[in-house]
Amino acid sequence: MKTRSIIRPIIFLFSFLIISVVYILNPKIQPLPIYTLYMIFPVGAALIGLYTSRIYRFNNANGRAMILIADGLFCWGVSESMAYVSDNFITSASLAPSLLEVVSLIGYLAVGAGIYQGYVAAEIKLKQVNKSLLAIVLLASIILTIIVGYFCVYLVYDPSADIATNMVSVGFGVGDLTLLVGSMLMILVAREYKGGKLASFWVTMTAGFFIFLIADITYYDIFGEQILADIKPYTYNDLLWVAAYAVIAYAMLENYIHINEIRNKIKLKIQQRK
Amino acid sequence: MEQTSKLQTVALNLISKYFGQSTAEVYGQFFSGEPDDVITNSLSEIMVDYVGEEKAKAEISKIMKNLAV
Repeated sequence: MKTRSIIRPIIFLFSFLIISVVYILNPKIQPLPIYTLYMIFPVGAALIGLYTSRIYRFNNANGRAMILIADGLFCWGVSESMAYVSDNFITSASLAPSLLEVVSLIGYLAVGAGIYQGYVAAEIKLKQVNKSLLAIVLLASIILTIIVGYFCVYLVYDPSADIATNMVSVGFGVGDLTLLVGSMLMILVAREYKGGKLASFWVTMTAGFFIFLIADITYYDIFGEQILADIKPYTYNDLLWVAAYAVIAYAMLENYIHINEIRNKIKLKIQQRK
Repeated sequence: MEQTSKLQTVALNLISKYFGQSTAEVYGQFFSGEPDDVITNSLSEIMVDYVGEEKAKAEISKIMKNLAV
């Protein structure tokens, strides 16, 4: 059992390294095979999310947290898959990009609500939280909110564009802010489950969402033009998303496997009793 | 017997909260007919492993308090 738990992160890391090497060695960005490789982790995360959401029920905060995050991941996976199909197989660009963006934004909404429910489920008593940790989290939240707010909301807003366009583009900025504040909350949540598997789950998820956030900001707000012009190394920004999906998928998978193992262990005890 | 079934119910609610309904159903079969100490020990074991010692203690003492009321 222990050997398998060591092998799993190695498999994830090794897969990420293979994708990175293939990505870097490839002279042209995103031909079909590379794009297909990119899809492994988003689709993986979506599928694991789908399985995870079937475990829980919506009648308690922890269940709601898991279901909403899992559903958010599923939306992101669906959005990535739609982009994959649209970019590679629908040459007339008939699949409206806004549809992908709306599905992706619903994903942000679900993940944000899930993180909030995770915070509620942890029943954190702020008075008992280490004051230095709380100060660091608050300060980091304020500084990062200003940075993300400037790059992802203020700079993105275009007064000459129509409302729908602005809603989608600013929506991603707000989505990133949700991930940012959510990640900060998740640090407090993880602390509440100190020493338990659930703490590792939230820490790993935080890392994944943080990488996601960096990838979003660099793509949409800082190096977007260079990436679209296929200038290296900016185009390797995609690898940040691959890493984020890999980390998130890994966290979900570990949680799913842990619960499955508990169930199997108790089933074995019942059989032995008979 | 009445007390045991109450303990089972609250223990299974807690298991359902953290490990899902299907896990709680399997535990329901396991708890059936088991004495209180087996139920609390099993619950404590999986809770400590999953949510950590402090949180597990807090959650279990909360349900025990509710049980005593």
